[in-house]
Amino acid sequence: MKTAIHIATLLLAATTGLARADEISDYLKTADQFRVGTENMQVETEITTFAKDGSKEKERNYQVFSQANHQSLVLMKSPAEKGQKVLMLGDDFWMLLPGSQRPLRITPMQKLLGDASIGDIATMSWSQDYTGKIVGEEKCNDKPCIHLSLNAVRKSVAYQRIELWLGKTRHEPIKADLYVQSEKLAKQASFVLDKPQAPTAVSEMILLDQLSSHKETRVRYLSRKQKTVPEQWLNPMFLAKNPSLE
Amino acid sequence: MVNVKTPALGALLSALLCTPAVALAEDADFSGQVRALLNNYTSNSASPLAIANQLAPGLSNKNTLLGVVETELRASGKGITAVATLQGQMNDGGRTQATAWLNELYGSLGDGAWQFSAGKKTIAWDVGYGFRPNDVVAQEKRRSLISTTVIGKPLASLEYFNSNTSVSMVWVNPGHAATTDVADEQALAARIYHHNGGVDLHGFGRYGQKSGGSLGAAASWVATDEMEVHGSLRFMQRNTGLRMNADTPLLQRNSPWQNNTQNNVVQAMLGANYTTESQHSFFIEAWWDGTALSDRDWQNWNKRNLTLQGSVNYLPQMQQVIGYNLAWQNQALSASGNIRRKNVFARWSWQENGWQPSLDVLWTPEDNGRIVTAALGWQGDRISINGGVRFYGGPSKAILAQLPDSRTAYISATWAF
Repeated sequence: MKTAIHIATLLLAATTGLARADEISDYLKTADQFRVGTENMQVETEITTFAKDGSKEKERNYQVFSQANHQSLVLMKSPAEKGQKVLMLGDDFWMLLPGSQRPLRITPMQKLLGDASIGDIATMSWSQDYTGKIVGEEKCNDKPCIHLSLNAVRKSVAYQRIELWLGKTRHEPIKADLYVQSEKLAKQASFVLDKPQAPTAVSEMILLDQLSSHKETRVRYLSRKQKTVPEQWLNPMFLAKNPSLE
Repeated sequence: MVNVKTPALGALLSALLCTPAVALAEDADFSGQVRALLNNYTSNSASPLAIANQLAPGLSNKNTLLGVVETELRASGKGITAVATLQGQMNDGGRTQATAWLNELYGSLGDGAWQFSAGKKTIAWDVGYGFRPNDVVAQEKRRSLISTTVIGKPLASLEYFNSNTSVSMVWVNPGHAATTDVADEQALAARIYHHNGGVDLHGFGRYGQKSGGSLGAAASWVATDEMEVHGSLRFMQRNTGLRMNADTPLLQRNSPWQNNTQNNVVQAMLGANYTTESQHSFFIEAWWDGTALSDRDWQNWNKRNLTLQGSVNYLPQMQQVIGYNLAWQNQALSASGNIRRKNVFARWSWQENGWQPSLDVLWTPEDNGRIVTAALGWQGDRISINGGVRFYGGPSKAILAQLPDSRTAYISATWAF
């Protein structure tokens, strides 16, 4: 009898654990919907960096093709970076510079370089890249929210741990603490929604650097639309030819 | 300096260029940059060229300051790409010069998987930074103190791409007559590329009208989150480069450095790149270049320099001829892309708030020669400022310590539009 109770308890615990994992996955899928929409998207992004005193330092425009299976292509559109591209295929990354016509293999650590790293705009799917636990219910700006503690399931994502707060009712992203591999808090993110009363999408992500520069970076999502790119676009040698990607 | 010489290629390009210019202008994507640059050169008084100049004044009249203003213009649309450079120079002697050239002008056709291109184009192959033995089409000069846009070559290429593999076939310098200059000879080149997870694999082949066949392979492997390892190997059937016979008499009427063919030549490079979370990057490469002069060749070169200098004492009436012969010794420095066969290159750089300081050293272990470069760059919204200084040195018999310059420095400002 004791054994039967023990097995039942274990089964219940396992089932509860699975249910919790499913629940977290659902939360993250909904949060992803607010951030980027569905898989295979084309997202126009504007990144503005502000110095400590609040003065505008620089503005950059990116076109991001976010595809299924952790595949992303980032095209730099601003004059200072025009023609540069970053290709991310799962855990593999290439940098393409317009003058060299030779793809440069880069490490996950090199991907982090910069105020708003490429990882901030191209790592789109929390539901595919992270798993974790529900810490509990908390108050975010006097509104109830759910605190999730997430760990990366792939080592090459920009942040190995994310403490994420989602709205309790709609599961929209509210804020996040982003930790790099060494467990240092790298950035603190907060999310601005398009319609505060009935949000449908994140219109802006504000990043506060906590590692060195302490700058503020605002990532604005200017437009989102569905786009499945041809398979050649995800070959670094094709991109090295500087083809027209329209 | 528009350099599309071949009629067949010209016809192909004309066909590709038949798109009305107005339509091109409507859909074209334009960009470019303006750069102002100031270079400073410090002559090496211990170099054979400086000594030659003392013996035969006027042989070399190099200025110490050079100012350059250049504009690079890029346009692309309707399958046509053009890159042009306009440049003005002025040196401290008051001499001015204006030049313009076309870096690239080519047309491309394709349905995605298959791509055909023809015109003046840059095709850059191989992995690595300091030395790329398999960069058999562009043959880009590496480790320049100041980066410049490569000038393309006349070529026609056919390429196939899928998601993880590509095959490229290139006809370089079509129609060019046989030449001893590998950069200008007519050649067929091919590359196959495949990436499998963390590894990029490349295979290369080239057949030159004069230089014959060569085969190569390269790989790049992201070993950890922080480290990338790469290597490249090339075997050449033949290579043509400047050489001098060991038994050449001391005083010559013409340069004793003549093109000579080597058989069965090997080039190899191995390197790694390590980047830390705090954005420090460490880079190291070591390479062997079998096309460079051998250790014995350089020993003979040093010996000949000393003998020529010493001969002034017993042949004072031949001073000018001795000067010419010493100046010709300088040609050996450009006998190959690398001066010495064994090379080790190490670089540190750091990126923080738009600033990028870097320090690198090229060491030639055969004679302990070295080139040390320190640079600092700043990237703003549209403007970038860069400055650097490069020192050449080593023991007195090291070849890098006998180059015409002992130090070069530069500062540049670039505005992108």
